[in-house]
Amino acid sequence: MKYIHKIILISILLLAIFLRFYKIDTIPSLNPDEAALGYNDYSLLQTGKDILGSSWPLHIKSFGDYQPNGYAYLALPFVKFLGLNPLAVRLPNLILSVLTIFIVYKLVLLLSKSNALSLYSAIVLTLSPWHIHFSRGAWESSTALFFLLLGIYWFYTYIIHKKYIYLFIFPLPLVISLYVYNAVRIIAPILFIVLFYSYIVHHKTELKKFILPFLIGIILSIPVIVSLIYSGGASRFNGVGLTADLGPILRSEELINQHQNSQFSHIIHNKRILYLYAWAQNYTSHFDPNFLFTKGDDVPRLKSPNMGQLYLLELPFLIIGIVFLLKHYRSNALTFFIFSFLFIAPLASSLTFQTPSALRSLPMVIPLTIIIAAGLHYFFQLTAKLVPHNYFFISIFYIYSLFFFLDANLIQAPNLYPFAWNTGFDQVVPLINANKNKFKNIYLTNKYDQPYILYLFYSKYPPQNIQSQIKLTPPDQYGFSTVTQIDNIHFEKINWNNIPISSLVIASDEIIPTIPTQIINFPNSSPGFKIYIK
Amino acid sequence: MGISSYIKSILSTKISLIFLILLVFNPWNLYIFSGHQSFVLPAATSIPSPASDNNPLDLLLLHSPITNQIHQFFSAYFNFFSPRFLAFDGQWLLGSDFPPYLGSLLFPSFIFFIIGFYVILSQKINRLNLLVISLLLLSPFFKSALIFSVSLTYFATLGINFTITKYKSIYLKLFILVTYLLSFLYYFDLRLFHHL
Repeated sequence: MKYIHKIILISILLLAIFLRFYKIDTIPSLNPDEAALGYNDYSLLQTGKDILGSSWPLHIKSFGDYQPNGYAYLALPFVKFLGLNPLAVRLPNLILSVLTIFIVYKLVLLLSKSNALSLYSAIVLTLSPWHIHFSRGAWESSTALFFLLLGIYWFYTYIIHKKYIYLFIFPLPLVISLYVYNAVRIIAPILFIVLFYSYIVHHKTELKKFILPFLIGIILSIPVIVSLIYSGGASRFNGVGLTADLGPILRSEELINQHQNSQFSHIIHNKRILYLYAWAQNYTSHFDPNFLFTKGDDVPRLKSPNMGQLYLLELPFLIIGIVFLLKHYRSNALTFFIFSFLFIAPLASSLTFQTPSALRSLPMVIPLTIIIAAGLHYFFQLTAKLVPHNYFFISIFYIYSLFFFLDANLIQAPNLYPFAWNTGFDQVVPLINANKNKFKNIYLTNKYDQPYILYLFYSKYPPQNIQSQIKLTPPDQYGFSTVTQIDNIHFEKINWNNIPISSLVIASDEIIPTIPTQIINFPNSSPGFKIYIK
Repeated sequence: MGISSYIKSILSTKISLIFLILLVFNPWNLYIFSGHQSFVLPAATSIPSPASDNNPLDLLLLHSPITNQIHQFFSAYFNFFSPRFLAFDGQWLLGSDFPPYLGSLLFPSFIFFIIGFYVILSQKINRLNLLVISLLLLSPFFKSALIFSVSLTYFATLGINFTITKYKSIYLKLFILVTYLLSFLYYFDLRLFHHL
């Protein structure tokens, strides 16, 4: 690598660290999933068991949803040395997200042999709103993406450089990714099989060399497979999977009824066909230009307001990049990797009914980034003579877009969606602890997602005490459970008439026939929590 | 080769036949023949007001009416190229004059539309293709249902032509034919029995 390329790469990585690290301990507010990861680490460190009393489990069931526990194990040393706080929970993902940029650089360099294209890929990913958003939090999706890419990079390193060490180590990160995030359990095997097949079909004599690495990978994956089948690991899919959506069944019934229940209508409007149709709609929704460029995800916690997952500025470069890759790199492994990855990445997300999902389809950001980088590369080549300062103009547009995103992500989102980020719990929990012994009962609204885990996290509640008393509610229609009581603290919908005398009530916007004694405001000055005494 | 001679040369090929068949069985026909020569651009989603309005530079650069209008314009424009509209839900933008639960292209045509785009992007672009791409991209501005429909059909035709030329298997051709027959059947069912 030339000296100047090293300098540029280091500068890009430093910028990536700054964009991802800035105010990471406070913005965004800690969400319940992050709190569950952190508190389970705290519990494991203190007692060797998670909050439900399971010893070193593969899944955490804090909300009854069997999330893979790989991220919690990665965060263990951080929680041990930095204590139980948002920074400690988020640091592993932040570090691995920055390393993802480095891996993308190395992978593109390996496959394209182009320093310029690999540097463009690194800078585009560094500035990517999609990637920055999911780097600034304990998002397992982003962590799993790092391991997935590392496995693929080592796989291609073996193929290209024939260094045998990579033949035996490439399955390890791929297997780790399976322990970190559910969606990758679908994406990683399919992507690897496609890439492997495309290689082996032209190098059949090498097939034997892969037998041992495959066996290593399969043996290491056995606990995941077993837990998926026997330990309720699949229950997550039952909650958010495509079949949890009753829409296709209702539509089938409606169409069949319009035919007066004829035999023909049962064939043509079969609910299985309509589910297939719904899946196709879900899958293609990830390529909707509005999702990619103007609206983004519909879930407030997963989006920055008034923005898509990519910058609008990148649309022309995405198109130019596709043209460039198809014309100049059509039979190159890079193009095959990019387009395979692009079409496989939304598969897991499309099997759920909440689509398009920026979180579950996060791996799409890698192929899209490389395509945009290819578009920039081609554009600069084409216009070098026509527009002498083309770098300058594009840089100005990128800087503007970056500021637009930073404003949306760091200022607008916490103000517009404070409810989605469980903002204010860091103030509510000390208030609860200060009054815990003064009142017979404390009632905390359950309007905001999973309040009990945030109470445990911010109060650093002794894990052995929660293990002995925790009771999860029966799963709701989406498969989620919660906890409604810890000691004298009740987490439920506030119904003033049912609350006994001598209670402290922390409500949201419920109708209460008295004036609050204190109000905790959201950052936008609207009331987040109203405190009453009954 | 000029546009007229190019059109003349392709008129004698199977492309024109495929194009005409697709055009005749196009879901847009019902919409166009029921008196809608043009369509209305959907209203864009409203933009929430900025959280901090005390910084004039912030307001001018990031939240000015111009930036909001650009955002709303693209938001409305992109709807016409969303898979939801193209393949699954024409009524979403065209209203109840369009058959329900049906995209503005039949589902196989949607797949061939993508392949057609791939064909155009991966080959040297000729003037006819450039013209049709331009018409497709500009038709939401003209609000012309006919131009939009014809451009979409042209791309689907290129996709079919590419597929059956590249893969000469008779089974593939049969599969495409059967898929289209089923799609036409489904289209007529929705149009005749379920369309109010």
